[in-house]
Amino acid sequence: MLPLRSVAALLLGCLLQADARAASTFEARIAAFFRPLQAEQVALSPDGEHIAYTLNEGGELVVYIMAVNSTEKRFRMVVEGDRRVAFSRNKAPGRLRFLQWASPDRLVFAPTEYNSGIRTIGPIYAVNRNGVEPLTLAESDDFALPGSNLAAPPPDGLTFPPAAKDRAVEILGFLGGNRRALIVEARGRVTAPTADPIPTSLVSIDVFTGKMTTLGEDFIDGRYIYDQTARPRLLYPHPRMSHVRTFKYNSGGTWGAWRDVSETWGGVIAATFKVTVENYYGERAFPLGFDNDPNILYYASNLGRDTYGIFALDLTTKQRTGAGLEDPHVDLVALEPGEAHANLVFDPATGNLAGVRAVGQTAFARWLDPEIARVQDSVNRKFPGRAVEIIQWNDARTRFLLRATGGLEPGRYYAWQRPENLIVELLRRAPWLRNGDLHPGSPFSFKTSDGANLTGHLTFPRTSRLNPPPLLIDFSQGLMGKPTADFHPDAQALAEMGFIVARINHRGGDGFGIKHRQAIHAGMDRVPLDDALAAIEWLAQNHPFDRRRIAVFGRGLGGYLALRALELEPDTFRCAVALEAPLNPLLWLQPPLENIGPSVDTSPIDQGNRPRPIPPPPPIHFLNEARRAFLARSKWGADSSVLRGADQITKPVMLIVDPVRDATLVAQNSDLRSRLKRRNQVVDYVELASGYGENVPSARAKLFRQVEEFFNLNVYDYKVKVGPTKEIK
Amino acid sequence: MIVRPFAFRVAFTAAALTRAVAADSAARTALRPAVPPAISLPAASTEATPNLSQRLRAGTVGTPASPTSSTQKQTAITLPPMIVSGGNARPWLYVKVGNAEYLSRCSVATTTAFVKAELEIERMLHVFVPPDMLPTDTTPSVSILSPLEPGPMRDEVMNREFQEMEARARRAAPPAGRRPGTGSSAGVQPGFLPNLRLEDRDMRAVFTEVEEKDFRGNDLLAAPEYVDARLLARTPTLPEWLLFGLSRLYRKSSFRTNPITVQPIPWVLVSDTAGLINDATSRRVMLPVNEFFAANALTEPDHNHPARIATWRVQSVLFVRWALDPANAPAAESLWKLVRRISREPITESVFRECFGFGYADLQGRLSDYLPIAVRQSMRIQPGSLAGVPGFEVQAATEVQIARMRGEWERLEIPFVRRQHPEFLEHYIERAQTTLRRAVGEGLRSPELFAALGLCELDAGNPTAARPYLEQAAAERVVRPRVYYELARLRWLDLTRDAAATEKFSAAAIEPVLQRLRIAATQSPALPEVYFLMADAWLRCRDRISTEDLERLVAGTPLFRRIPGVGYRVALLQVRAGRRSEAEHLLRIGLEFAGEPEIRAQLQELLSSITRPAANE
Repeated sequence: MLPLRSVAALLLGCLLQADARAASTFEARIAAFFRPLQAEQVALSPDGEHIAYTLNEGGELVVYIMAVNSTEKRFRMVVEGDRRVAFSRNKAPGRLRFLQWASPDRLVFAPTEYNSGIRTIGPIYAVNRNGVEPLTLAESDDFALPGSNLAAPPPDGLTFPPAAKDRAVEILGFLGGNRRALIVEARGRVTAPTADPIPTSLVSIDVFTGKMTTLGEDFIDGRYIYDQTARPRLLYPHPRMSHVRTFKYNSGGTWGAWRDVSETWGGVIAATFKVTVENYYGERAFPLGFDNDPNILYYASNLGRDTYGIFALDLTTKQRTGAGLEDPHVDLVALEPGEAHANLVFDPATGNLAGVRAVGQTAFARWLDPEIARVQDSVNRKFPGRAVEIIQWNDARTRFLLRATGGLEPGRYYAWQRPENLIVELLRRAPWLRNGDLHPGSPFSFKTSDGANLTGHLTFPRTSRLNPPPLLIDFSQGLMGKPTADFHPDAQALAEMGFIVARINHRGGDGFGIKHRQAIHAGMDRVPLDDALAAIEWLAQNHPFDRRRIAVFGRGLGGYLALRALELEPDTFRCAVALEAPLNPLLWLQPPLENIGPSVDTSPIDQGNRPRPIPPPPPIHFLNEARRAFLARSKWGADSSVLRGADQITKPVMLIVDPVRDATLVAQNSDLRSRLKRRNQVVDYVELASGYGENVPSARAKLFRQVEEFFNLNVYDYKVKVGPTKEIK
Repeated sequence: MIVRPFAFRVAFTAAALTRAVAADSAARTALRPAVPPAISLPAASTEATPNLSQRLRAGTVGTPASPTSSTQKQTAITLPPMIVSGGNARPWLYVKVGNAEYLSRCSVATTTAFVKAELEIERMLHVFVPPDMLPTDTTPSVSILSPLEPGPMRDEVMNREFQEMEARARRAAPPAGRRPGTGSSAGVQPGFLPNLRLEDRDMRAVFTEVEEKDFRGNDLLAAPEYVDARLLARTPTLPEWLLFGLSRLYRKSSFRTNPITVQPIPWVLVSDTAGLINDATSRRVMLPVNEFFAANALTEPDHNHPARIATWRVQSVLFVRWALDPANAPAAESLWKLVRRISREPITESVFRECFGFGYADLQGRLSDYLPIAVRQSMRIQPGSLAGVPGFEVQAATEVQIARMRGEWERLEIPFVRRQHPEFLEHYIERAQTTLRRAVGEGLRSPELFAALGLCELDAGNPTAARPYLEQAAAERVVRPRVYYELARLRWLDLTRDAAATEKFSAAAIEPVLQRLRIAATQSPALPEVYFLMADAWLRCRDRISTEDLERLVAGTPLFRRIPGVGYRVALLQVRAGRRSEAEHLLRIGLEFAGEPEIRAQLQELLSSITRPAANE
């Protein structure tokens, strides 16, 4: 007979093993949510017969080519291996920055650029769909300028080869009406006064021969806007020291003099093309790009309205022309003029503007092209409950490449074959996630008592340990976040713990117009929290949940909001998890530190015992200044620091920090932990392991396992005192 | 009436069906549920596409004629029916079990084994399809068993036909030695069991010749066409995708084994199937789920591309298989819950969600995720603990039973012979009349016998002779809805024969017609022609429809959602009765069920005419 102690040890061993197995199963499920999605980029051939798409598999970035209308074997091309991450064993998956078909048989693609430590690597390739005639169209070196970047000449007796001046390369696409010519912009940059200027060059590359032709170059720092014949027509300059950015137009010739756009040039509308740090988050207008007709300029404007719409300006009449594209609740373009044109969709065959993509409650598009608009209506009806995006179409408009997302679906690509009226499912973005195993979700919207239109997404647990289930408010998007995506790995992971997860596009966020954004000025922490409370009330009427078990979760500024929620509404929220939360956002309002030159650690010998050059004043970080100006208009209470209000925290808290990323943030969280511990408050302090920042699935899963343990103790533990039930009126 | 060549098959191995069977069945099965005509369709045109516009034109229609089978749109291998010989062989045996009657000249052992096998088949079928998905007729089915006589058959034509039928079955069987489960062919080699199935509007009959020395009940299989016919006969009519899906899955299934095994299903093209077998992430053609469920899934102008139709078919099978797969439990219960609801109300995403707990988009994803499994793996359904088969007793048949059941069979032969072998018609009519008249002449009495004789005379084209027998059967309260319908129809013919097309009748004039129809409406199976005639009679009546009859018609409408002529007529009556909003509601539901553009247009036209004045108000 076994001694009692042995039996106990055996039982304990079994229990621990079972626990470890359960943990491992949980982590495996969570890790699956965070695996990189497949087919990040997809391109339909002009004849609609093939698609090319990317895949990260086996530590490599691969491009596959598959037939749309048959099951012929896919063609596989390895682009590159995963890239090393400094100071980490983990590797980052490669990505493409460009993937398009130049002809029914010729594919052009380019991986994102990276620096090898010696030089920038950024090739552009072309290959036939059967793998023949591969060609490296260009390398980063082809766009680099000869010269030396060394601040000082080499010591006597030594000669170094002149270092190349790398330029960032942006592939703009094919020339309008000529897919044979790939247009590439090598971006110049500002240099210190003594250094040679680095110009911006525009290059055309023949995708069949690789022949490069320089179309022109200019030295002004900024973003150029070209027409469809690759002529630079407008410039969004980035002056180093100005809080104002005024668009310029090309007064003539290929590279003529640039002059400020004015009423004389483009009428009253053009006179409004001015961006300042003050109006960046307010009312303004800015150009986006040119139509096939070079006299038609598309521009974005929210002047006299709440959201950004897209309109056309006829430069010959200097009047607005045609119908605009607009949405009453959603900005159709991003705020940054240099990037907003990416939302425009041009017909690849004709070069005409077909429409614009935007993200509101879900991804959507507004089509100017009536035929595409009809197709959109048709495919929307085919996928009720999903956001369907028309990604591309063939020249004959008989095949349309679609992406359907939403609900619990990470996304699937389909081809709609119009003559047969058939849908062909081509790809799944996460084939390892079966629909039946995912947690369902749906978008929601409602009006608050003060008339604000709030939207968001709900994720419902497939199974819950409690009935009704607990609720979790997820502030992950922070103060000025973007609209929330339909499928979100965090939401799936949290629903896996049994929560109904509510992600709210609270006021202050981008994308929903000026009123929505500026509403946050009434209280940087109070407004998002009031929105969360309103959402809780709305949810209570529509989806039953346990009012006594509401947790709050947030990342970054969302973590700050989560902790403020515990301080300001202790009766509502039961516990909080704050991930890398800055605890005193007032620090953002401070101006940036001046560049005072080399520190005391820098030896004069290192400088070559030469007189130290006077450093130029640091350039203005325009976007940071614009954000600071916006936030400075908000109400900031004296106690808006979490640390100041730490005494008000009476509910369990989990603080998660990355020990190597931000020392200030670590110090703040450590301070908060000490204060809470002194008061015997429940506080878990977790330091992120390596790999989390690189989005390594196992690292994410490990963290969520710790979060689950925290919730197990503080949400599901029935021994924890539950606050008095409040009557909700 | 229609003939089906097989009711049962003999399986040499108890595995699954063969590709041959599937191919054979594919040729004969077109599972679009036929819409029984609301107006007179001459017997000769029953195979033709009914004139849909005529079906809706209530008030302008002619006289309803003898109903035709709900399965009439199916094409069939046509054979001259067997002649039931009186002869001097062994005595007839009789078995009554459940809703089936057997008349057998086989031995007691063979008869017992046959009946038991049928009951076991029925029991296993109920594992696959809940009993309420099959018709629950009050009229018993008739099955006649006869030993296969050695030597040349009595009827040379029939002999030739049977030999051809057998040769076809042998040719269609897989080559010997082929391994079960390889490719799309399963391991069953169907045997040949000469049997014929004849159907009337309210009953069915099967004649089977059994080779007694080799007969084993365990080898008996229900022919797919038989299962199809059962599903088609259900009222309310089942949705087309379910009929098609179950039909094809049945052909892929082995029902005499435990667990029931369903073989992998093919996808649209052979290359698609091969692609999915080789690579689970292969491309797949699918229909959006909302279009797949829609009544006009295949009928709109942009919905009838052959590739789309082929996709709809395989998706029907995929959806049903996905739902029935125990791995997806409780999807099976959800499926039957859905079918029960959408038999009477339009399918919508919210209805689907209430049944399954998720919407169309998620179903789309789940079907797509399941597809690679369905083309690669068999599905097994554990029947669980089955109830025992009901007991029965084999008795010597009485004279009335012999006469009635033989007479029913011979009566059912008449329409078929008229269409396929008119040269034999007189002979068959004479035989049927002789059998039934002699029995009545010999003093045998039963309401069923009178009904059979009345219907026999009617099918023989002699309504005058039929009427007294039908009246007698009705007086003795026979349970045969067709009897009451035919009596009503004959009375309606009398009433309208000499009347102008626009002439209206009084309520008293149409009352004799309605009396019989009211009885028919209380019996099972529910016949749409009963409601058609009742509505038509009221539409030609100058008096206001009685509340009871209107309620009766309204209550009957959900039984025939997929037969738009019923709802259309009832809506017209509701309009006349001043119930515009109810008529509007009915028409809107009708639009949800109507697939054909012409029918939709007519429903829409009436709906517009109803709503237009309301809008003006």
